[in-house]
Amino acid sequence: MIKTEHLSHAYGVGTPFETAAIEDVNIHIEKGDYVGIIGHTGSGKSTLISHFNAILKPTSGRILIDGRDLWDADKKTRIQTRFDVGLVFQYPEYQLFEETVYKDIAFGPKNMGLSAAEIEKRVEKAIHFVGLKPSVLEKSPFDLSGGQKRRVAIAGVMALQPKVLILDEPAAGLDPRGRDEILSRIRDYHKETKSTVLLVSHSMEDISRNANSILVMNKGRCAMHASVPEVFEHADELVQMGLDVPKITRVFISLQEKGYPVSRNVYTVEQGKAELMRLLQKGGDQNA
Amino acid sequence: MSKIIEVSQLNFSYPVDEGMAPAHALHDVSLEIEEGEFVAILGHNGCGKSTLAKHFNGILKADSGRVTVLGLDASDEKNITEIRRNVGMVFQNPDNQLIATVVDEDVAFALENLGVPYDEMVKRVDEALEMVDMTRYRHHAPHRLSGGQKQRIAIAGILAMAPKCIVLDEPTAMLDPKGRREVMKTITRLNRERGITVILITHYMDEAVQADRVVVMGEGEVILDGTPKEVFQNVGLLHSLSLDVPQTAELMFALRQEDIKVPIAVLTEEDCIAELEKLLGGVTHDQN
Repeated sequence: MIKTEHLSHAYGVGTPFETAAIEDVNIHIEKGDYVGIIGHTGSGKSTLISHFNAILKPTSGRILIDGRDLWDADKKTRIQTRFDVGLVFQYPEYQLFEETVYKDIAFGPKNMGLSAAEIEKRVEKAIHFVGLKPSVLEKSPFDLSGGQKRRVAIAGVMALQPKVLILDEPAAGLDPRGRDEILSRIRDYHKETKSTVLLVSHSMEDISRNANSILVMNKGRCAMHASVPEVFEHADELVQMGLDVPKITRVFISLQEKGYPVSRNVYTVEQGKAELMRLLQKGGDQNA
Repeated sequence: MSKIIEVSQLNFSYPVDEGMAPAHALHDVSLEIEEGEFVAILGHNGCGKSTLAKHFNGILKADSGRVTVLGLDASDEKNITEIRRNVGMVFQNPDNQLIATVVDEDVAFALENLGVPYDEMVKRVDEALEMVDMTRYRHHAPHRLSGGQKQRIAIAGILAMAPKCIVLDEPTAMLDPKGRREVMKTITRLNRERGITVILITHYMDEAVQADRVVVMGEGEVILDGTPKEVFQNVGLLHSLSLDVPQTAELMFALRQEDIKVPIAVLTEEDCIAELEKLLGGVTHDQN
């Protein structure tokens, strides 16, 4: 779906402040995958994802969407990419601007040149995906709560029905319930639409609960790109990169290192409970 | 210990459009904070915790009830300067709090406004940077620092005023795991070593665990108030308030639902490992 070849991007080229934001990134994101992107502040996460829908042009290297080189193609193809790859920025609620929620969500589809009937269908579907009632459609987005605004903004990108949905910290600043709610909506969206989803997050817990694979950025380079268990296996390296593994994972790694026959690959409370129950039942049987 | 902040029967509503019923942001809140305490305030978005915090240094004024800071009435305009000098606030977004182009000038900003003599100012800036472990960055440009470093500079700016109390409103919400660790280390050290009263508003349960006392708010009222161990016993209640408990306590809660006898309020990795070792005691022998 998305492929990069020696992708590099430098800011301020030709000035004394030239800095390489990403360097020689070679990744391949499969169609239908749910990828968690982690990395310290300034590791190049945002620079990387801004290449996926042609907001940034590589300083060198190539970026291919569905096998097509984005910058070798004509302008029309690149514009189409903006619809195929939907990007939800951090704090997207600050980008709402229309008079009504309906108009705001319809803005993207309208720019795609869709018919009024199709636009209506898409708005309804998007609002359903983010879990808002149709009654909010006629309200001003500015009369909604922060969490609702955020969902409207996400719906606006979902209404494009992009093949790839990229979200940059969609849960930042929300309370635990708000986080769970928005992330489970995105999970359902991924399942239902079978689209590719990329989630940028600083929360290892959120990543482990949602993503299938993890892409780790470190100092502008792709340090790892593998399944969740393979990446969290490198707990010490992740900490050195300014990252972490879920707390519960550290508990199970310690138990294993102390000689208990537990799996190291525990990332969520549910997995932890299942693992303990398995062991306790086994132990119980043997005692009996 | 003497009381640094005393809130009694505080009521507050934000102004609304004419004809609309005022929404109560705070309802009959009473709370006392001792000098030298480290208090975490938890609550879902919109529960009133930030509104409450803004009463601690006179940003907001009570509709009714009383807020006393260092024995001074916060509703009296002539006390405000003295109160703000002693109760500093740090907010979520570090980029909105830094103004100067060089780190040490930024830290000196408040001192300049207070008319502190030059020599004294240099001394205090040095000390403040030392306290947040940012001395070697004193001549750097703030906008080129990482999020965690920026927040520590914002904290240094407050420390330079030699306050008795720092109120931090979700200071780590926008930071990567390393930035969060840095900020938490800094504030716990200020509290333990310098005796500065810390009030931390957060959505991260793992941060709240590090406090001496946890206050839980819901719908403008104080719902729970106690040590982390006491508060995190109430897993069901916290869930109903849209809050989490630390992953380790969540695991214990899940095990108890299977009638396994473990304590609930297991808040740190070490304690969790110890409890699970007790539980698995027999298992390892059987396996080996």
